[in-house]
Amino acid sequence: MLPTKYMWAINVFTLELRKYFTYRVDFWVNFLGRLFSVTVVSYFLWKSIFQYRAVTQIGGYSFSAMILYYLFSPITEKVIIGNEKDNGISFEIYDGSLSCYLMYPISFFLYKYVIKLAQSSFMVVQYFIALGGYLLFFQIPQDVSLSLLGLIQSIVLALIASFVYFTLLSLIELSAFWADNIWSLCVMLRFSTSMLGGILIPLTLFPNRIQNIIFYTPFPYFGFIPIQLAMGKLSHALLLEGIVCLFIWELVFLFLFYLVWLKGLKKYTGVGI
Amino acid sequence: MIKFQDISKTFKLHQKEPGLKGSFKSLFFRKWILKHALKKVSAEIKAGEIVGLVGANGAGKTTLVKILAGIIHPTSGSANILDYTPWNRHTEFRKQIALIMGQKAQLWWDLPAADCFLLLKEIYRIPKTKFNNTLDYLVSTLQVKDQLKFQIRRLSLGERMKMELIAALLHEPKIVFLDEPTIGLDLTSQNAIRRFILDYRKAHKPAMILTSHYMEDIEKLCRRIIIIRNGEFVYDGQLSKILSEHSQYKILTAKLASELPNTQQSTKFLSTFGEVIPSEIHILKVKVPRRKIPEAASEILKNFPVIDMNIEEEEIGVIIEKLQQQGLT
Repeated sequence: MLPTKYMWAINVFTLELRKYFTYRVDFWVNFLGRLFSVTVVSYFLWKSIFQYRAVTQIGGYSFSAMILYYLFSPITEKVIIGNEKDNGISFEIYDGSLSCYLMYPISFFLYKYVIKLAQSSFMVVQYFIALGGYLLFFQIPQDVSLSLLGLIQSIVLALIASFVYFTLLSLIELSAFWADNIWSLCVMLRFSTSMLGGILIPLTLFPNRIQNIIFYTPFPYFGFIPIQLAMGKLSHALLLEGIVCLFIWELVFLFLFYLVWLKGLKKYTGVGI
Repeated sequence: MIKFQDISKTFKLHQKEPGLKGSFKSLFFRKWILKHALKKVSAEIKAGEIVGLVGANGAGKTTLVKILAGIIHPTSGSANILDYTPWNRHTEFRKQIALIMGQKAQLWWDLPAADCFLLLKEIYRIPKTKFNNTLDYLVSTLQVKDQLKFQIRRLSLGERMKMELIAALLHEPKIVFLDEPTIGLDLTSQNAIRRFILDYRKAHKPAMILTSHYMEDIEKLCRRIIIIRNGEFVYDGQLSKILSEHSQYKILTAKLASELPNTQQSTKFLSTFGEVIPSEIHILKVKVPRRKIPEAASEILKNFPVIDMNIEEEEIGVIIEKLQQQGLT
């Protein structure tokens, strides 16, 4: 049970969730559009690669497992990163809307996170619809072990990772206190996450040396590791290691966020009001 | 309740030359200028007082309000509001203040007003019974019961402003900042909001700071005004005193039994007392220096068929405008 001082969070969460479910067309277009574009393109691309190289496995994935990876990739990305290009914090600083939130006796960071959590939770619904659709028409590949427990663990890890991603993105967005337009920084983060987070290609396809470096960063937790967990390709020891690693990264990002936030507030001019 | 001393605020702005050349140049070199929005301003406002903050655009009114509401930090100076420093943004401080901005929507655009209020109930942790009673009172006073279930973005400007007022006052703040609360509203809505603000003050005795370009807002709501010019206070005192201290003229109006006998000659005669203001053919209107009023009144009564005479103060708006432009003389 939440303490009374956080009851507003439940209200914000449900209001935000209601908003997402209200826009029915957006729900299906957004969901199917992204899913099909990624999965269908990947299907033909990897089919050619497998045929050309005449192998049964690439980077530890059979062809069917690779296609399943590309089903998990966009839906996991949506849970962790979401649809939006940013959290809106930079725009609120830019146009002065932040002033309204500064007046409320609640944490602005927490308020924005509750909105993000509602978005991620909404994406979990899409996650299960996509997976249900897959299981209805296709067989589970032999080198993949899908289980309800694995899926739930994967979603929980994805939700934890979404918090870390949110903190990192918010930290970057705070640079709007100093620079008017920080859109390019958000694009860079998103591109880095796609590349180093295993959303574009599984990280096992990178050379070992590069993989070793990538696994010290938080990026693999924004895609690759939750997907591996869902596909039954991650041990419990590695899962635990992942959670500890995420926790350490979160502490670093949170510390930096508050440092920059306090500095930035001194620079804030509240233009637009 | 509100006390601030020597508050200054300087903004650093970059100047860009117009055109493509200027834009390209600004990629490498930027010219920065310092804008002194507030220069060592001080004042004290007590509970139950509504102080009008008057000044031209860019004079520093909103900057001061933003500093006192804790939104921005001053460059120097100190403030004490309800024993808190506003820009430290203590939670207890934020629970006791409200800022209403006529030019900026603060409510959630996509939500019906009723949902916004419920959310604010949780944010300010208002007990259920108190929330229901306050909401009933505010909604009935402002007559917006029928609009509660519509999305904010579907309401008219006047209705939205009333909802903004309700949202800002639900938690019964002890400090209220009103930044242009009647801007863009029709006369009926302006009057309704003014009446409501006075009722709220009577019932809750908050300290209020009002900024407005509508002189009627100031005249009807404030007994005390602060005139701000280029970041400095040029007047801080009772509104009524402005007239006696800074009004150099009075308007003398005389109603005549018949038309002016010789218009040209009469105008020449009247202009010896002051500036003749064009008016109807049966009416004489002269802007006369205060010291010349007895002489002018007596001469007009002697020389014209006067059936009624009236001596009025100069319009307060004109005096304030003069002070805004020229400062104290």
